[in-house]
Amino acid sequence: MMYRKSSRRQRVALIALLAATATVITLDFQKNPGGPIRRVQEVAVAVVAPLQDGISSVFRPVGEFLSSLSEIKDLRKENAALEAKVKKQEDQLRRFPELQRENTSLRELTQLKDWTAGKTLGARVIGVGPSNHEWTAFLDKGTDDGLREGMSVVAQQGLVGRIVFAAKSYSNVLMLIDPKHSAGARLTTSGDTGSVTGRGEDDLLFRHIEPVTEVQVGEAVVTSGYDRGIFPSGIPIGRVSSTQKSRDGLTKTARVTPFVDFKKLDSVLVLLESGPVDAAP
Amino acid sequence: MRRTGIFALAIVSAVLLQTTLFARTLFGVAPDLVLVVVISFALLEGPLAGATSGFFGGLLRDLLVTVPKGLTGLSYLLVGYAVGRIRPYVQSMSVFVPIAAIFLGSLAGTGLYEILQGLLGQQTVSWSTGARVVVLTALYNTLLAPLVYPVIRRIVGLYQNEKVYRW
Repeated sequence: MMYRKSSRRQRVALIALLAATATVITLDFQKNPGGPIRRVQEVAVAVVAPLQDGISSVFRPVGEFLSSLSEIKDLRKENAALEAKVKKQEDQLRRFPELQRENTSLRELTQLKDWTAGKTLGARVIGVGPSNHEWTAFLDKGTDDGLREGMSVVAQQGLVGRIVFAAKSYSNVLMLIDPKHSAGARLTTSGDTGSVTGRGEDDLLFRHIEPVTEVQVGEAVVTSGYDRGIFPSGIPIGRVSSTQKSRDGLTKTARVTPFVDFKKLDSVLVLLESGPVDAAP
Repeated sequence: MRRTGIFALAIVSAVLLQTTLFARTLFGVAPDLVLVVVISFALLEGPLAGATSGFFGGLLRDLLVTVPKGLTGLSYLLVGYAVGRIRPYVQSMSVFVPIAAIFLGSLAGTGLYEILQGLLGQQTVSWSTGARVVVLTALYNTLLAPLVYPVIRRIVGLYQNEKVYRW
């Protein structure tokens, strides 16, 4: 008798929870920017992000110390390689002022905007998203710091991704390697453009390359700016690791290894003057 | 009230750990500690606690991802309910019962989420990659089960002292 009663209570509760789930799915489907889901989402981020911030600032030094221990034996080899690299790059640097002058005057002629020129905001990665199918990171800056959804995020080595959710003092960035992330891209040698899509842990996929274009392995890939201006033109993305002809022979694809090491992402810059052109200011 | 607070604390801690310390640590995969906590609650407290913590734990995870919300909530609530419902029929008191439950429940929970996402056309990775992640997550969860389950049993015991087990 007792058991039957509690079993009926359980069934009622289960139905109520299922109804609540259906409501959540429906409300979210509406994609209402001022809707209740959006507001709950802001609350969830406001609760979780500061705690992530705390945990990551406590454990980051520990992690860094442990990984530095395992790196000691490779340091000597790395040092020799770096010395050789520095010599080579010093030679290249001598030609740099000349190239820069030429570049500036060409930019003035074509009125191209330099992505490094605009205002930026430094931010720290405090944690990642909870899904194993998503490559997102939480940043310790939000709309109060002038950050908006759609802005580009870069690290020292190159493009990181774009802001997809901005709460008051925290935000979420969709990383370049996420399968939902695409960016207009350009091959630096041929100047041919296409789009680069994330593939998770695998190399990025550069699509829509003209079949006649010569693509070299090791060639650098940068943003093209041809995606309604989501990403400013010229941000380094990565290097071509391999190329492939599509089955119908109409286009070529290339695999691109990103410059940014997404496992060790720490400090990033948000380009405050970037973002889709048609977005509200 | 105290019980609700303990539930919430356990779930938030699980989310925090899996998004910071354990992020992408096993072949690029993080454990799904929320699911471990939900299954532990279901084992110790029955289907109602399993379903409720599954719903709220899944919802919190949903709110922190960029894909449509509600699917994690649905998957975890069903797993929480099922685990709580099946538990009384398993007579054994062996320590392997919770470990097996956490392994199978994790497979079911993440697998169900994967299938729902595919059905709604929100799939972002191939089925084979998805399956690999589901299995890795379940294995990682099972590895951490001997650490998480006793903690949950201990905190459940904090408010359960005078309570009589139904089975």
